[in-house]
Amino acid sequence: MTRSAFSRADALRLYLVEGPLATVLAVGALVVVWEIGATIIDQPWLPKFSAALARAIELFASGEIQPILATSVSNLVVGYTLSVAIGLALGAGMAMSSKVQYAFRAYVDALLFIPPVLYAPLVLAFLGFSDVALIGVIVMFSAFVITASVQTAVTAVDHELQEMADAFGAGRIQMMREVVLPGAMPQIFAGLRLGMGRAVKGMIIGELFVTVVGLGALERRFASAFDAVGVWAITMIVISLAILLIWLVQAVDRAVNWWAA
Amino acid sequence: MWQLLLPFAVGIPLLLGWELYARGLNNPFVPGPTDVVAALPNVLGGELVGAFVTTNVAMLRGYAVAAVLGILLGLVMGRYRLADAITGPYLDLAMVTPMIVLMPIVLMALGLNAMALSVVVFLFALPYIAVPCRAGVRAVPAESVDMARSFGAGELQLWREVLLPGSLPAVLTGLRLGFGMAVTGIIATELTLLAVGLGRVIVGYQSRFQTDNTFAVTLLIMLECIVVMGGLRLFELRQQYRRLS
Amino acid sequence: MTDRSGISVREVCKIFRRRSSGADQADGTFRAVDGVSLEIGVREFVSVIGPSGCGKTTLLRMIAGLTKPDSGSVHVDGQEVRGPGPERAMVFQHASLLPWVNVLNNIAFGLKLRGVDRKSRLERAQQAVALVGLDGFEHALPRELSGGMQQRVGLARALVVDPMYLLMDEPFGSLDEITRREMQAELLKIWSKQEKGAVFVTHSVDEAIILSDRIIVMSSRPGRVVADMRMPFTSPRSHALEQTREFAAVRADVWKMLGGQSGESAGAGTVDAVEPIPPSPPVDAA
Repeated sequence: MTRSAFSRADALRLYLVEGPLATVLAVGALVVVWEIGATIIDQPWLPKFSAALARAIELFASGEIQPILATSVSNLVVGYTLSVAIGLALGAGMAMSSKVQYAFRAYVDALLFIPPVLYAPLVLAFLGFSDVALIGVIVMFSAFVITASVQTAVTAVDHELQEMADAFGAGRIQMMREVVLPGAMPQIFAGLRLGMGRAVKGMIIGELFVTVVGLGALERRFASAFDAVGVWAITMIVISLAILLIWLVQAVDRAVNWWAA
Repeated sequence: MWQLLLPFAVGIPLLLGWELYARGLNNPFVPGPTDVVAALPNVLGGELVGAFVTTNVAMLRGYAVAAVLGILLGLVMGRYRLADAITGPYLDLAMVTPMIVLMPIVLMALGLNAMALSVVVFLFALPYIAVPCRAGVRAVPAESVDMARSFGAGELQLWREVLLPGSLPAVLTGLRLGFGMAVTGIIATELTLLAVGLGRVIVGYQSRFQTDNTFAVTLLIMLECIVVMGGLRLFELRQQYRRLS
Repeated sequence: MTDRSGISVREVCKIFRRRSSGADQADGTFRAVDGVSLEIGVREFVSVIGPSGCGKTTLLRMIAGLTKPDSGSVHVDGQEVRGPGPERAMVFQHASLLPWVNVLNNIAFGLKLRGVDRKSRLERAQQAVALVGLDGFEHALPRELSGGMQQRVGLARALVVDPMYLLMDEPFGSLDEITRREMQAELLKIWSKQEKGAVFVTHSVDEAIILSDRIIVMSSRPGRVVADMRMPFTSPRSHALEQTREFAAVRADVWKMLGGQSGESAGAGTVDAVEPIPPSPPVDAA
């Protein structure tokens, strides 16, 4: 008996190691250009990469940033999880029931059109200046992108496959479990990836408005003090966080959808 | 046909719930829908029109440049492997970066002026315009390209007859997404770092705790977005429809 | 086995609505299947051929229970068809294999849906693997297989649920000619060991002749049975049959029935196997 030539391990290696490798190289090149450029253009708003990196490390070493990161990330995790739950429920509901679709479609479309930044002040007004409000902003940023992706994913499952399963006597639950869910997974994960990127943006924007907690607040503090090195340090930390989280989503994606091209 | 009523089955309870919540709370910070609508006449004054113009001008300047460069970049990246290899990773990086964190840097570098605002808008919008354009060029069927080449089409003709018309819907998608990001960029900056235009109006109301006015202005901005992006979307759908039938 | 009586199609009609061109009636509809009646015996291999749009796939889908007739009915072994059922299994033109599951589990899919336990269904699937000649590929994913191999999986999947009737919708239609002929030979070989009935839709005349006991020729617009022709060949068969004069004569007659729909004048008929409507009584293989 031969095993499949392409296995789960292959998929994980291919997409998690070799893919990011290209990104790392690109970033490396950017860093080099940055360092050289900053040395040449001696401007306060462009400190050297090494200086920004040193400051970022110092923020960690001094323990200053850990509690801030903890707040931000915990809000992010809660907000993202909520968004995924909403997205899955609403998206699947809209895909499977035309009534649900008609009822909610206008709102989901409108919510996707309106730049989420406009919601931030509104949500904060409603929920007060609290962690709950920050979570609310994150949800407004990411839930509806996930909803749209889930809806598309479930609707787009190969109809021939569904018909084949029908011909072999699949009931509704079997159809969902054996054909629709596995078939929709790749595209659902594309939505989850997008949603994670949006969630991070929501986290930062929310915190910029609230200006008391989290990374956004810290950034604002540095900005008002014209502390360019600090701002760049925060930028690097936020970008790293975003990349790490999205990479995590991709890892889960590759583990679940290893069979997809 | 009764299905058209379903959205109201969701919307009306939501509005009612909101109204009741606001009434019950009786908190000036939490306006109900009636408060917001009532605030509209207060808000629609000379000050608002000027602010609208200021903000939109700054935004459109950045957006226009982002559109031109973004479309060019995206199309080139879609067609020419080398360009994609070089700039691709940076574009993907830009899409996951909350551009918002770079706002202070831009303002520090360029000063607290309208030019800086336009640059922020440019940075926000560019990746979201370029990436769909890249996808659009790639999505043009290889058979169409081969067919044109077999009839002797040169590169320029290829672009004019096959690639550009073929990727038009995707370009429109990019313009739409880019517009959304442009609005995000300018509003976020005006609300947090450089209070001019609409941002200043909103911050002004917020500082005077006139939340109903804040909501009203935000509503108007949302309407502008819906109109512009909805229009682009309709245009995009029409183009797609023509291609499929 | 005693309550098997074959497939009985009685006066079925199926009407479709067409948007612009293609409508034959003033009300914008056309009759994909128009009053078709047919009897298929318990162990008969019957092919349905005809030009595009003649309703042969629609007819098959009605027998499979995937489509409901607008009038008339289909009965299988005495029971009216109200949907798919365990006594019928379908082979699709595009194999429709689950991409996330290997060959063995794809074959076992129908058994899984019916609640067969894991050990049994994998054992049975393994036997089917041998039957269709896919030994060594049990753990391959569909995308690692060629078109012909994917079709074999589809065939195995249909056979392993042990249906009474196999319904095949142009199963070799998407294959190249060489692979196609290999699959036809495989099917002939497998068929000689089975005691099932089959309805086989195809647009290839030669394929229909070599595989079938009977050929149903349909016309298009409206979809009606034009001829019901019993094949005079004995079983078992091989592709060598194609070289015989008998084969050529049958082929000529079938083409005549196909061509006769456009009003062309027919050539001289030569073989007595040609029978006009009404359909011939079903034949049980000896």
